[in-house]
Amino acid sequence: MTKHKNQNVILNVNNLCVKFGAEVVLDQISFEVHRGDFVGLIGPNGAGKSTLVKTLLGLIAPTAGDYDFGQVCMSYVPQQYVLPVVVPISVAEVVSMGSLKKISKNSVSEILARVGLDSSFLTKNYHNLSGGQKQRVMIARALVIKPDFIFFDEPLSGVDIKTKMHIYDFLKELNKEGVTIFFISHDVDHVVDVCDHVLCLDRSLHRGCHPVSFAQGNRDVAHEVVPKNDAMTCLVSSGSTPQKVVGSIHHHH
Amino acid sequence: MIEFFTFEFIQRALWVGAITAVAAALLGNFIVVARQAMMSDMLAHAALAGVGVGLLIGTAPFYWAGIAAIGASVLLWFLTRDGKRPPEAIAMLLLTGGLALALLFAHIARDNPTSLESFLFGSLLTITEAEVIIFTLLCAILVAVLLYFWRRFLIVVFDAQLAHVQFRYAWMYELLLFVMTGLIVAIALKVVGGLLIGALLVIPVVAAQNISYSFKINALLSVVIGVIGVFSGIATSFFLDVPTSSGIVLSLIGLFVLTLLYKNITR
Repeated sequence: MTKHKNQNVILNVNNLCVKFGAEVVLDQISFEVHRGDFVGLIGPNGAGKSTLVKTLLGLIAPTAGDYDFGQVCMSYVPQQYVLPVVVPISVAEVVSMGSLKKISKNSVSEILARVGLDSSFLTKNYHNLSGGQKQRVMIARALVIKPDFIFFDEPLSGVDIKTKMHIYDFLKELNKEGVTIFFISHDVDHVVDVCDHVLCLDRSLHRGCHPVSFAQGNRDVAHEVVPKNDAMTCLVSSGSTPQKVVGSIHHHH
Repeated sequence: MIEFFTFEFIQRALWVGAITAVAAALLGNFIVVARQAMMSDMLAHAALAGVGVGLLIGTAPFYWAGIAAIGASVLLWFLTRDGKRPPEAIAMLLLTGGLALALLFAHIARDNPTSLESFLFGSLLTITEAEVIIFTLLCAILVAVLLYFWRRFLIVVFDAQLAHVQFRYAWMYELLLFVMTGLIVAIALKVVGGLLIGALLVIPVVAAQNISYSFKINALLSVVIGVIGVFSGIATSFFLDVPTSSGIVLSLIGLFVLTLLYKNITR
C-alpha cells in the first residue's frame, strides 16, 4: 500500500549557520521536510548533527540564516540516559513530563501500551529499567502531547538489536499515522533502510561539495559521505543514483 | 515528658523546626537532582557575610543574611548558567569569600553582644514570636511556589533541554530554585546554623531515596523524615542537654542509616 503523503512543507531550513566563537559548526544548511516524511539525518561524530537539532529545537541561536516550522505540534526524544539518577522517578512521572498539563493515569497507561510497556511499569523506578525500556518510556513521553512532528536525537545508541528493530517498526507505524519523523543517527544501515529520505551532514563536505540527500536504500551514497573508519559498521549494497531528492543539505564555502 | 510540650520556647522550636524541615525537604529533592547539593553550604557562608553586615551596622542580622544568601544564589546562577565555569569551583569562591567577609565584619563589630557563633550552629530554642511569624510566612510561600510549579521544576531539574523546548523562560524556574535555596538557607541559619544547613536540605532526600520508587513518594517521605529528625533532635537536645543543631543533624543521619538498613534487608 502506498503511503499517503501530504506534501506541505512542515520545516523549512534556510542557509542556517552556527558558529561557536571562530569555529563554524554549521555553514549555510538548507533543506525542507514535508508533512508525513520520515527523514533520517546521518553523519559521523562531530559533524554537527546535535548542533543542528539543538538549533531547530530553539536551544542554540543561529548565527545566520533561519528556519521555520509550519503549524506543528513538535516533540523530541533525547539521547539515552539523560535523566539524572540521583533521586527515584517513576515511569508514570517521566511520561507525564511530556506535557505541562496534568495527565490522567489511564492516558499514561494507554501511551505506555502503545510503546509495548504494560501498566505494571507505571510505578516502576525509571532508573531500574533496561536501556530499551528506558527509550520506550522516552518515546511515550514524546507522544503525550500527540505531536505531529518528532525529533529523535540518536535515541537508539546502546539499545540491543531486537529492541531497536521493534522501535523502528513502531516509528514506521507512527509515520503511517501521519506523524512526521526526523531521526538523527550515525547508524547508517538502519537509517537508510527505515527512513524515506536521508540527509547527511559530514565534515568532508566542508572540503568537497556534494548534494547529500538521497533516497531510501541507497547505501553507497550514504557510505560515501559517512566514512567507514568513523567507528561505524556499514553493509554496502550495490547502489543507484538517488531516486528522489526531497531535501538537501549544502555546505558552501 | 508532657512537661516538654508545655514550654513555649519548645513549642516555638518544634513549629519552626517542622515548617523549615517541610520546606527544606521539598526543595531539597529538586536541589539534589539538579546536583546543587553543595550550593546550600556556599549560600550559608554567603549568608554569614550578611550576618556580619547586620552585626556591623547594628540591625537584625537575619534580614541581611537573607539578602546576602539570595544575592549569592543569583550570582551563582548567573556565573554557572552557561556551563562554561565549573559550578563547584564558583561555589567554593563564593563560600570562602562569604566566610572571609563574615569574619572581617564580625571582627570590626566585636563589641556587638550578638555573636557570629550563634549563626554558625543555630539557636532554635531562642526563637522569638516575631521570627515564628516571619518564618511561617516565608516557608508557606516557598512550599506554595514549589507545589504550584511542581511539574515545571521537575522538568527543569530532570531534563533541562526538554524544559527549554517545552516552555518559555525555563531559565526563570532554574533561577527561582536558586533563590528559594537562598531563602531557606537564611531561615535555616536560625534552626541548625550556617555550618549544618545542608543536612536539612539533603539528608532527608537521600534517606527517602533508599525506600522510594518515585519522585513524589520521595518528596513525601523526605518531608516526614525531615520533621521526625527535627523533632527528635529538639527532644534529644532538651533531655540530654546537647546542642540542638547537633541533635537534629545526628537524628537525620540516624534516619538515613535506618532507611539504608531497611533497603538492604528488603532487597
